[in-house]
Amino acid sequence: MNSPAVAHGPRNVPALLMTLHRERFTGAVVVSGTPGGTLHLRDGLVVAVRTPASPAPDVLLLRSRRIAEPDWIAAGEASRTDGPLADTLVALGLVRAPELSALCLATVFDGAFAMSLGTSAGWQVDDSVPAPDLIAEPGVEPRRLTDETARRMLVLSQLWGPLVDFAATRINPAAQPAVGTLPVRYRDILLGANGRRAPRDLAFALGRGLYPVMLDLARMSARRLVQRDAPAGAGPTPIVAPRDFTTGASAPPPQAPLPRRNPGTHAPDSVPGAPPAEVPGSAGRIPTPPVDIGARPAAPSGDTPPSAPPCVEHDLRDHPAQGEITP
Amino acid sequence: MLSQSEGGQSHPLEASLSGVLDYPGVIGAALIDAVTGLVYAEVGDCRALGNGTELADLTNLVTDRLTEAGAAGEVESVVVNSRRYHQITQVLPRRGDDFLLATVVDRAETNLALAIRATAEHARNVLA
Repeated sequence: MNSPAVAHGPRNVPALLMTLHRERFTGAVVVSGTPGGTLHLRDGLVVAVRTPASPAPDVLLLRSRRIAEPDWIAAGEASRTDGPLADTLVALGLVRAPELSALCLATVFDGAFAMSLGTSAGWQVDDSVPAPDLIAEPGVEPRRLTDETARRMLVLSQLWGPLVDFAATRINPAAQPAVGTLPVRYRDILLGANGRRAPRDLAFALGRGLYPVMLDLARMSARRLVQRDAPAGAGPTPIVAPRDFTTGASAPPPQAPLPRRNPGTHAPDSVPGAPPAEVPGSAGRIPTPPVDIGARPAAPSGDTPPSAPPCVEHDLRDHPAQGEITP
Repeated sequence: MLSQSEGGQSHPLEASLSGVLDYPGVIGAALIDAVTGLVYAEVGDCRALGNGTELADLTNLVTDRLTEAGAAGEVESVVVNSRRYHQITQVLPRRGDDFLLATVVDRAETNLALAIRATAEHARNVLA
């Protein structure tokens, strides 16, 4: 992407999308971070959003059992010769055109919502990234996308509370919900909730969007149909010390610190700070350097073909991490 | 008033919806996500419908209260009458989250029973 306006830097993704909309940009905005994702644009309109945090159209079609997997594979093979996958799916009678259009449109809004729950580290604008097979045509105006995303975040935060915690909360069914008198959607969620799944996991398991699942969970929580477990990583550290079975109390923590592994030796130190223990066969081993897995946006690597157009890179670290997609 | 369709010109969707305008008295229709209230497409004059989120919330509220009261089965339609219009919301079951076909009908042009029957018939075909 060679746009001067983009090169001088919109301050966040919504502002970037507005700029690209004015320029009728066709290509992709690759947002790095957690979860990150890619927004695909055509003539300035957002036609697809792909992120690990929300199911794409193919996941929705398959996991909801709207299309059987063998049929999906057959359609994929047929589309190589017969044309676009969407047309092939419709031609084979696997899904109707209006339904597929609606589903692709829903994933645009759901993907933007899912990305807004995470943190962004930066973005790249790249007009060489191909659009996915299933897209929403003609696309969504960025203003409408950001407005709807902001509305969804407001609705859920009013119903549940902090959305970051909500997204990480593991869901358990209530003790004895009256499953027989519930809407099918609620019953499916109760059957899928097992105390290990967060809303995103439920969305993928059920073949539904992330926002619809979170909205249903919020409503179900109000009806006391589900219980909220603490988000993963939250709460006090569990006590793992040996228990005194005569009193039922845990033994006091040991005074001496636990041994720590010494990199490069494959052996623990007996005491932190002490010289590493000698391990047979370890002499002369070269320590492995640490791998940088920081959240910096991926710069164009040396693997990029020479013909690829240059990417514009921005850093979002100075901007608020939460709600990056929202205005 | 319904906002413009989020998808702008969603041709397959609007084409599937437009047939409902042929029924007597129907002046507007919208296809809406039954959970999120996202408006996929709309045709005609939909100002009397309210926005998609409100329609979805209303339908979910009715469904929740009915099931809480012990009613079995799924809601098929929700009808709201005003002095000038019938607002008929048909639930379109599907694999995945349901859709809503919301129509606004001029009371002077038809009667409620006929309008419900006509929109229910179209609802079965709207995704075809």
